[in-house]
Amino acid sequence: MDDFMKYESELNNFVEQQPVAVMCLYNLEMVDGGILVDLMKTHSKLILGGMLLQNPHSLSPDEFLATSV
Amino acid sequence: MSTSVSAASVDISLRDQLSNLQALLVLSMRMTDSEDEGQILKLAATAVPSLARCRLFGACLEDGGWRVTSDAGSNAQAQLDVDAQLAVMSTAGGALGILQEPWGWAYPLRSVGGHFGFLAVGADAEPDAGDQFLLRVLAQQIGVALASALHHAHQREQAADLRTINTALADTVAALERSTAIHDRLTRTAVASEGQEGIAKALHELTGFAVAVEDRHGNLRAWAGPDQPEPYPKAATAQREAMLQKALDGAGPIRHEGRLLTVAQPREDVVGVLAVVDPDGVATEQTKVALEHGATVLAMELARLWGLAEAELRLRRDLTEELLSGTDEESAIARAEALGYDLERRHRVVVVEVSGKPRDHHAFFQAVRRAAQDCGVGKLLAGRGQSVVVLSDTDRPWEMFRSAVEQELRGGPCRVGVGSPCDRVVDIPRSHHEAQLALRLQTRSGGPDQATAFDDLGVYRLLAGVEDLATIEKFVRDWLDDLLDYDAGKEASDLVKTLGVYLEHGGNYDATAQDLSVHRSTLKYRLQRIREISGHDLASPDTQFNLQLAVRARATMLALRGVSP
Repeated sequence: MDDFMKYESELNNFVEQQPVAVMCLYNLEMVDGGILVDLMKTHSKLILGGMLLQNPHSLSPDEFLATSV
Repeated sequence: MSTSVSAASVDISLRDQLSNLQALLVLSMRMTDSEDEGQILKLAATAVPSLARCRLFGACLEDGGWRVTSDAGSNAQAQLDVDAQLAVMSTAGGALGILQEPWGWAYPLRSVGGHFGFLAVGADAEPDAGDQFLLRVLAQQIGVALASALHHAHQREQAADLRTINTALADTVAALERSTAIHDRLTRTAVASEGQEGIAKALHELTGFAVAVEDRHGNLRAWAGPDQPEPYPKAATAQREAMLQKALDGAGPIRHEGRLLTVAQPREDVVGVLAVVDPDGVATEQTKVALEHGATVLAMELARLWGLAEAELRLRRDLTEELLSGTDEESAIARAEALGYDLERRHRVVVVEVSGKPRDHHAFFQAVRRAAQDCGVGKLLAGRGQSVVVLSDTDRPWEMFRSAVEQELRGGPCRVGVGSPCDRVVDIPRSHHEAQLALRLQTRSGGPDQATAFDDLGVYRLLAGVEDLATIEKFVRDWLDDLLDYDAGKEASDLVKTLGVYLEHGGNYDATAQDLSVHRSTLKYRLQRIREISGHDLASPDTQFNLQLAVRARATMLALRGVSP
């Protein structure tokens, strides 16, 4: 799961250099509390049940990895 | 440079903390959305390592023990250890010693309703103030979510209860509506006095089944619907009574030989049967309800009919009483006419009396009434002491009538006395007197129970007609005086009776001895004593005739004295 979160974070770096908008889809029934917390930390916007939650303080991949150590 | 690195590090840490707070909000939303206690605790437990550098040991709820346990929390010894500490811990929580964890803490789980458990967390070292703050808030959010889930569960239970109650209520209302419809239909029948035919018709219309109304004996009183059996089948008396008893013992309708039936019994002696013909056994609960309502209306109808019959019977009884006592002919005829009865015909008075132990007089009266009705003997009856008097307008074989009464009494023995015919109302007391006399002479003769008609009494009838009893008495004394004196002076002596039986048997020794239940030699000795005491020659035909007449005259005299005209 840690590798997956690393992938998520790295993806952010890649997307920033491309003219695309990416939406990551997660099945809430299969996402536990830990993943939910990490997703919130690594994404600037999160749509939960139709509600938009913004996190202007989201961490870049490097920053996230640094806090996870 | 180092200042710049340190500032960047503080910035990341601050943003991490702010992101955690935002994540806590997301978690809280997910937990509050969930109505499942297990899912709430699992969400929270898995979030602990992401929110702080800690490990979850488990969540311990006061009403159910450990719910979410990590590998470490599954250790039974560690659990017992923590349990012991939590048992004495303040509801504000506090430091916790957890096996193999350098640092441990118990965070209270609470809601507005109060404290309900702890979240036990362990770590390699004491987390900083920010992490501890996040853990405390997480525990608080768990409390709120669990309380909300509990509340929802209660609401769901209440809603389920309400649905169950509503369904039951709807069923009850539907049953009541059906019951009311049935009741209304049958009540209309009762109010309109449509009788037993109306009840059968209403029940047939309500249920769709063929319906029969029967009397106690199984005779058909009304039928509604198709396929009426012809002739109508009738069970044997014993089987019928057993079926009635079974139906009366049951709490509701019973099933019997392809029919669903119930018994209406407004009085002990008034019984009716209401039956629905259902050979395939497909009658529903609604049919049973209709049958029970129908039985109630039938009971009312039977009670009404019984009341009418009883009133008519009472009027007839009163008229009979007056006729027996002697009444004004004109008014008696008028009253009889009002009852639909023709008094201006030839009548006889018939007296019925039970032999042996007296019976319940009402039952006896009813037995005589039914037998008189079945045999066509007469419709005017009255109770007199232990006997029942029937004013008969026909001339039946009286022994047959007597047997019918005995049958109605289920074998109880009875005697019947019949007066001579009378063509006028004023002669009825005389016929009554004769019937009583016939009964009394029958009793005195000591013979078997039978029907005795005054007309068949022969010389007794002639003797009973003598107005001056003193003449008869003198004749009796002339011929039997010595024997009567001897019997009176000596206990256990009954020479007059012996003489009477001997003469009735025409001087036959064997028949006389058998009738008296004595030995032939005893009889010979008694006859010798009779000859000696009375001085009569028993071989003389003239003496024999006078002695027999005297014995019969004495019996008549005694019977006449016992019957007041």
